[in-house]
Amino acid sequence: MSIPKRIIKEIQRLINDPVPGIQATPHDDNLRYFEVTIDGPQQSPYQNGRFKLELYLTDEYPMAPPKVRFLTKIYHPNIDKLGRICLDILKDKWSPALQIRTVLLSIQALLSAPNPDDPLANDVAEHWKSNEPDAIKTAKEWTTKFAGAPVS
Amino acid sequence: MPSNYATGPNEAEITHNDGSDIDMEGDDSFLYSSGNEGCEEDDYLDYDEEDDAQYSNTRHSITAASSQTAGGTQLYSEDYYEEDDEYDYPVLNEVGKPKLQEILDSTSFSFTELVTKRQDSKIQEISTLFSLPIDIIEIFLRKYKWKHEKLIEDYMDNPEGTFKKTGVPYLNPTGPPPSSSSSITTTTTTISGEFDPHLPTPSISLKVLAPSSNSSSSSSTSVALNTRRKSKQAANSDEGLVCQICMDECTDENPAIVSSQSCSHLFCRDCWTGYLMNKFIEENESWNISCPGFRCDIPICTPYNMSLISNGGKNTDLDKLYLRARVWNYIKQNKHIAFCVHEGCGCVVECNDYNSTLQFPIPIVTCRENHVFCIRCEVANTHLPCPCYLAQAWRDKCTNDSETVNYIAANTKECPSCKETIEKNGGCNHMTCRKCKHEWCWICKGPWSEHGQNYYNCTRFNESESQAARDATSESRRELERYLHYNNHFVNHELSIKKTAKLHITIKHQIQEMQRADDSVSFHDCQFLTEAVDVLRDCRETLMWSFVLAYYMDRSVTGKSDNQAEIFEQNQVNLNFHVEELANMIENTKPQKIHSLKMEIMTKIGYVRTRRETLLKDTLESLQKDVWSFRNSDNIQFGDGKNTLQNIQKPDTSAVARKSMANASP
Repeated sequence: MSIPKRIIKEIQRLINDPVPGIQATPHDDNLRYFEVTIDGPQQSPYQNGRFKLELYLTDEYPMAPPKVRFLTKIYHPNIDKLGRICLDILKDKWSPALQIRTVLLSIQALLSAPNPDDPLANDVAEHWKSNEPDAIKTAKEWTTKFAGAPVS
Repeated sequence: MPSNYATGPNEAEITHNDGSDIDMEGDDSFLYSSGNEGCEEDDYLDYDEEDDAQYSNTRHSITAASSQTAGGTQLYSEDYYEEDDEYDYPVLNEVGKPKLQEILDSTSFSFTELVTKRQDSKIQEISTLFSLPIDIIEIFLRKYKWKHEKLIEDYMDNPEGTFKKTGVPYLNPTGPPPSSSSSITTTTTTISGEFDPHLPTPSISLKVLAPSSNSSSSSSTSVALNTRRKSKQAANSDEGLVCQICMDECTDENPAIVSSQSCSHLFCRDCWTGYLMNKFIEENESWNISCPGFRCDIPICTPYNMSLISNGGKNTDLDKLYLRARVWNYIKQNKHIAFCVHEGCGCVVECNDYNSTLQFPIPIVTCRENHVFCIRCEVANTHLPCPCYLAQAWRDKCTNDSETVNYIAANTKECPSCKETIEKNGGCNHMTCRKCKHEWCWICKGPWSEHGQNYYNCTRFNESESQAARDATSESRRELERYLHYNNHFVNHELSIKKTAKLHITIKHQIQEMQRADDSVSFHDCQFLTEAVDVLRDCRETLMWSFVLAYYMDRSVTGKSDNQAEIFEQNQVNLNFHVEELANMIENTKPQKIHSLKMEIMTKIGYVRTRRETLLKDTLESLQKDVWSFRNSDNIQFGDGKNTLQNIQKPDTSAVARKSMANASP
């Protein structure tokens, strides 16, 4: 199947005008499959971590949202142990006017602002609600352990 | 072409001559004359030769159909919605009261056109009332689930609130909207001055923009927007109008269409089409489609916008999908309208009168193809004399054994608001029903709004409830034997019905054989056989469901109802006995001998029919008087049923007898 012009344009823009802290590289064999790296935002428990994600543009894209998943383990109330992300714009709030870069920016923002009131990983959310400092501590440990952040 | 035309009016008449005597007088002429009157002049003139021929054929078949429906129904002659672009069919007026007394007054019409007409007239009416464009009213009504009284009430109280609730940017019908630019004001003046409901509404209507490169001034109405858009575009690139979805430049063939003036999102026609097609097909969305812009909630699915996107109807695929979604939404939201449940039948039936469970325990209607069904349950059998809530409980119970239902029970839950079955396919416990948009908690099924703090450990799921669940399981063991007994009867009759259907075909062949062998046997002479099979079928269905009623009947608590229950059981036993006798007569008689048994069989037919009517009449009277109590062991969801049963006052019995399905003497 041919690649729509929109996807080509998005790829060009991602390469020529990259978003700070985010790298998205299409796979050589399949321009719909992206290897993504997001740097943990400053002032968040994920600071200094580098998180790998995969992003896949389905045939319906841009009418349907891309499929995005964390490959690096992360301790976050809205991301479960399989790396699935609970983010409204990836589900019912998707708009075809959104792009790969806006999606990735939203995910980066989600790292800065976890939302334990709408949790995906219940145990993590519970931890977050009952003892936030401790949960943040665990998140930092995981960042060090899995996302390559230097020991703080 | 309706199928019953092919079989000929004669035959159709015979197969349906099972009810009380049918009076056909006067129906024909009435149908013809009203038919012509009801037809819209414009479309009528548009017919070409071929359509005309089809049209007159259809007319014949309606006449045939209506005489056997035994009147009572408003009939519209038009078949499937694929055909309806071609011709506008006559609307036939009400013929009279139903002659088969078990059938409620209902209106049957075809899939698209007449519902659309009905929708349109309602929209038009409210549009005039509010002095608002029809596009806005359409969105209002959709959001109000077509409850126009509620809409009118709300709007009269608080027009601004209605706009807010439905997501339509506020438009004051008597003055310019709050934020008016030059181009908007001109349109609004027209609205307030000489009100034309068909004018596009600036706040929600799309607008086609010419490619900006050389012709930005050609479209005078969109100058303001166009310039705004252009300046924004110019900042990004030197290109003309760029679609925000495909990121291509818009062209003459694929022009830019800008969303409402309140959001100004811009997409090309191809992307608009793709977006809507995706919504219609993939997401099966029929009413809640908003602008494709990010976090933009402006509703866009209006007739005006759709014609703009489909380029005045040139995109027939999109138009068809839209029409289907529109009608579908109307029918699904409207309790009084249902599709005929019979396979391949495109009819829609409307019945306004069946709300009260007490008066109408089983609202049976018939479509113009003569399919009989219960409009409340929307299933193919009539489940007489078993009230809807019991029939539903029984069906649920019977399917509970199957693997599918096991899976459903294990993996799905019903939406607490609309009862749609929902499967959780991952994600958090915060569920949003796709159908009714109700937000609820997967764990306790309570509304999500109350769960801000309790998302992971639902306090409602407490110990006493799980204890109750365990108790219910052990009780169901004891129930099982009882259930099996009645189920056995039920299944036996069900099987026999399947066989009588076969028998029907055999007997048709037999009649033909007999006529071939002996010229003196007329077609008319053999009708009693066909009749017998029909009567048998009806009786078996009644018996089948009477066992369900018996299963749910709780005789332990009700002293007062014992007598009635006794009568019911006697009726049941009696009917059962004679039905088997009749079945034996027609099934085990050789074709040569059948003629000699004619009198005997006909007497039996008459007797069995009377027995059935007595059973139905008695049962219905008891149901309407609410003398029986039913077992609640299967957690019967009484729904609107039981509530009405409890809340309603005892109905005026004469009115009930007149209007309901209670059978009068034949």
